[in-house]
Amino acid sequence: MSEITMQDKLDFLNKRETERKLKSKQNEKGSVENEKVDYFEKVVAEKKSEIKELIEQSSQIAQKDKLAEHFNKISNNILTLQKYIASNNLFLRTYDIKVYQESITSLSNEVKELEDKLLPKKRFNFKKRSDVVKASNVTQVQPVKLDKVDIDVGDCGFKDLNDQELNLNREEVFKKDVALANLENCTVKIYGTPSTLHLSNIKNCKIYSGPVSTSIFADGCIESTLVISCQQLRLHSSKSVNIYLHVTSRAIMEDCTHINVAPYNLEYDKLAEDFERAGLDRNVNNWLSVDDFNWLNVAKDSPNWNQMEEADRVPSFFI
Amino acid sequence: MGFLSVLRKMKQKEKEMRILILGLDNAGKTTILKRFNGEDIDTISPTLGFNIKTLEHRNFKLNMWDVGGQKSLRSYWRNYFECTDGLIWVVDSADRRRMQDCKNELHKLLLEERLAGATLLIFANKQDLPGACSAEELQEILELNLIKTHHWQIVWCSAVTGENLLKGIDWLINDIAVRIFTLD
Repeated sequence: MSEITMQDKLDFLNKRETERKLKSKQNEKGSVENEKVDYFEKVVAEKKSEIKELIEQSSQIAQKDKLAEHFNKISNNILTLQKYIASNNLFLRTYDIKVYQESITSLSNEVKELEDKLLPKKRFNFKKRSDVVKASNVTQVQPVKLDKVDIDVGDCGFKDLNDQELNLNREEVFKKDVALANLENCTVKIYGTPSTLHLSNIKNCKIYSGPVSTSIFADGCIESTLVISCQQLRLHSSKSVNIYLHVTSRAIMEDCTHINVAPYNLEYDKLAEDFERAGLDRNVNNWLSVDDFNWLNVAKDSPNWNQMEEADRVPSFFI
Repeated sequence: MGFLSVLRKMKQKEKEMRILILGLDNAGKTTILKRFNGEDIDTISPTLGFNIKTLEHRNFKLNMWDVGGQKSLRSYWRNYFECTDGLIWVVDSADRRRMQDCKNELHKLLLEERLAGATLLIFANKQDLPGACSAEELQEILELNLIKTHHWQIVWCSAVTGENLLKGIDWLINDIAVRIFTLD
């Protein structure tokens, strides 16, 4: 009888022991993270004060070669510190990295000034070299001409057209990069599944497209209606555009205003099949997930785009 | 803690490389990173900010920094230059409209003193698209032969299919390894 209770007690104690161990392990983990940062800060502070001390000592050294050696030592120390900070930047916050880098820059500037003052003849070797590099770089960038490349060529698409009804069929666009450029007062119907779609300089047009399997890149669309579906949408420098959108990841816009967004509502034969061919999930539509790069404020919505009022939406487009 | 222990700590990290992935928006930077890391690429959205991934490859620890390429983000690229061992410049080979832009941004980048010494890999991405420029064409369009300040190489690839990604990254790693640590 007493043995059984003894056994029970032992079991109980063992269990407690394991639990305690687990708990302390978890605590350790958390404190290791903190220690890492603390340790890092301590080392950096120590190294910095060492370097500062060395800098202060330098004015007391009279002999020139000793002084040069001394400066060499300082700059080596700075370099090592810089490397140390860089090698730890994974767990540092960006802001902290910036602060550390700034403090290093100011340290090396201080040393440089002091060296120029105390050792005016001796110059850093690499300074000369970096001048040379710069010079060669300057000559390198100058030839900026690219006129020989026809920028607008695309396998598939339309450009420089006014007042037209344009169609592309399933075979034409399948897995293609479709480009529409410089169109005005046009209606474009794209049946099927392009791989990507590029729109540039589109004015007063209606663009209807089947599911685009990767991204749509639109630039300079004005007073137009886009009925599009894709994995990603990037909209640039556009104004007054109504977008009926199906996007399976997210949409972004940059330098745009007066953009209205509504869910995709295109209808044509084989649309469901095309969604499958494009590899887009018809049930996943993040049409309201629009990131405005000109409005990095999470607390307030971007004034550059709106959800279209249901009353203003066209119920569906049959093409 | 003496300075020696600091040095020892640094030595442990010897096999680490910091790789920065840049390029115009819509070039496929995140897709390359995710495909290389074996992740799902169907849910990738345009990068608002940056992604960091640490991956092990051939016993090297690669710290990959993928920074968004939108125009409004490009001015922040320089915040990531420090201590970069390798630069991957990703090009949408099918986007002929923005080649000029792409060339200018690349050559501007190479003037950066903080990137001096970094190995440059240019990925001619989206080779799965029918209208894509070949790597040779891109070499001419982007005037890569003018680059004398960096070790560079252009490699065609398709992030969507995964083709040739390994080849490019292996070249990059070898070049960096020869420079930083002696290759074993």
